[in-house]
Amino acid sequence: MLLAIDVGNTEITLGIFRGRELLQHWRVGTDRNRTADEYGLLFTLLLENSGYPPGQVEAVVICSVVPPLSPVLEAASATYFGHAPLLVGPGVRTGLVIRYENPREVGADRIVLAVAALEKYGAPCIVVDFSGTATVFDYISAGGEYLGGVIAPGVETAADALFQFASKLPRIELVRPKSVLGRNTVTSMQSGIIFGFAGQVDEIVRRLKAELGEAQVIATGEAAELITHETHTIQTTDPFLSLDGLRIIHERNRTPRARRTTGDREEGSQG
Amino acid sequence: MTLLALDAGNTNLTVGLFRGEHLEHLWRIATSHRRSSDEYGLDLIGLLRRWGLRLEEVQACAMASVVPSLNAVLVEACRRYFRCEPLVVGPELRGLPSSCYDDPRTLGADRLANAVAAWSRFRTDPRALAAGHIAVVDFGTATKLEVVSIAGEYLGGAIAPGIGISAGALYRHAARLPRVEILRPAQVLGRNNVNAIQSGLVFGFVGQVEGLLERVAAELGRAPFAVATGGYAGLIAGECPTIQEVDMSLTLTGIRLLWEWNRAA
Repeated sequence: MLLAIDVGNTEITLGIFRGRELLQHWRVGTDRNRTADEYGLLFTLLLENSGYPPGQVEAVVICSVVPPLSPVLEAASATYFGHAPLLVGPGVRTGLVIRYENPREVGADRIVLAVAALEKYGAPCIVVDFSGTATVFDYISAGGEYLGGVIAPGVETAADALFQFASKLPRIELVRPKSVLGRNTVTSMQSGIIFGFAGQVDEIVRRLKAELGEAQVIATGEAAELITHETHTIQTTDPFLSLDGLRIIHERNRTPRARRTTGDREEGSQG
Repeated sequence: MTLLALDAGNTNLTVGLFRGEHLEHLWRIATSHRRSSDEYGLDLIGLLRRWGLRLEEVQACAMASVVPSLNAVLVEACRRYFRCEPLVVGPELRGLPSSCYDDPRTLGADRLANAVAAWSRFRTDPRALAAGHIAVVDFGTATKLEVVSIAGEYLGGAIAPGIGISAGALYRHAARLPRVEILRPAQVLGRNNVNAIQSGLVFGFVGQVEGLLERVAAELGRAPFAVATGGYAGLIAGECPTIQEVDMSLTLTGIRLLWEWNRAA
C-alpha cells in the first residue's frame, strides 16, 4: 500500500492506495507547530481506525507547500512507517515538461495536479485548485506541456480579511443567498463573496481560453464544492486529484533508471 | 457656500472641499483608530493651509463613516476646529431612496451616499433611463455594489472582499508567494509567480464585478447602467465591459447632496 500526503497551507490531505485504487482518504488541519511524533501518531491512528495496519504501508509520497513541515513529515514517515518518503521537488521525475521561466518557482502542489490532470483527463486542460488560501489556475497545452498559470486569493482567505478589516461587518456563514441583491448585511456579504468569487473564476478561465485556446476545466481542492456549481466554466470536479498525482509520481520514480519512458522528458530542475 | 465633506472608510479618510457643487480639493488621510480629534483636526487644518485656504472659509461640515470608533472623534474635530456641527449621514435623513433594505440603520453610510449620488447624477442620463436601473460599484477596502431604480428605490446590493485586503491576506497565508505591485500584466497566463499573482488580482477582481453585475442583469431582466468609484476603480473598471462610467468623487458628492437636502433652513 502507498500512503500519499498532500500538505497545503490550510489542510493536509492523505490517501491510502492499493495499486491505482484510492482505498480511503482523510483531511487534517495544517499545524506548523506539530512535531514528527504528533503527525506520526495522528496518521497511524487514522489508518488503524479505518482498518489499515500501518505496517502494510510499503511507501510514502509527500508534496508540501509549507517548507518547515517537510522535514517534520519526512521524520514522521521514517519513524512511524519505516520508509524514507519520496518528497516531490527538484530532482524528482514527474514526466512533466515545465515551460515556466524558472521551473523551481512552480509549487510542488501545482506540478502534482498537472501530472494527474494530464494522465486522467488529457490535454489541453486547465486545472483550478481551490485551496482556501489561494485559487490557482494552471494551463497544460495540447502538447502536454505545463505553460504557467494564475494565482488569485482564495475564498476563505479573502473573506477572513474582509471580516477583520471592515469593523462594522459581521463574520458570516458562506452559503449561497437567494438573490444577488442583498437586503441586509449578511445576505449582501454572502452575495458579494459567493457570486463575486464565482465571477473571478469564470473571468480568469475565459481569459485563459481566449489567450491560449479551448481546454477542458477540472476543479479540485477544499473550497471547490462551495463555488463550482455557481460557475459557468467548470465541467469536472475531482476532489482527490492531488492524491492521484502523488501516486503517479511515485510510480514514475519507483524503478530507478531501468524503465525510462517517453513520458520522462524533463525540463529544468524538475528533471 | 464652502463645505468640508469627510468619508471615513476602513483604510482611508477621504476629505473633499466643495465650493457650491464644485469639488475643489480631494485629500486622503490614513484611517487610524488611535488618533484623537486634535490629531485629525491638525491634519485637516494643515491640508487647508498648505493649499492656501483659510479655516474661516469652511462654512459647514458633513460626514459619512463606516468606522464606529471614528464617529465621535470626527464630530469633535469639526466642532473644535471649524466651529460647526457636522451633518452625519444616516438613515433618518431626507432625500434618501425609498429602501428595500430590511433595516436601513444597518446600511453603511458610504453605501447610502453612493446610491444617492449615482441616482442624482444619472437618473436623467439616457443610458440609465434605457437600462431602468443604476448600479454603483465602489472599489475600496471592500468591493461594494448598490442597485437603485430610476424611480429612486434602493433594491439591494453586495459586499465582497476588496483587491488590496485580499492580496494582503494571500501573502500572509501563503508562505512562498512574493508581494507584487498590483498592475495589469501583459498576458493572462503568468509564466512567473509575480505575473501569475498580478493576473489573478487584476482579472480576478474584474471577474468579481462582472460576475455580480451579470447576476444583477439576470435578476432584473435587463443590464443596469453601471458606474464605478473607489481607489481601485481606475485599474479595474477599464477592463470591465459592463461599467460605463467612472466617478472618483461619487461618495463625497453623495455626502454633499445629503447635506444640501438636510441643512437647516
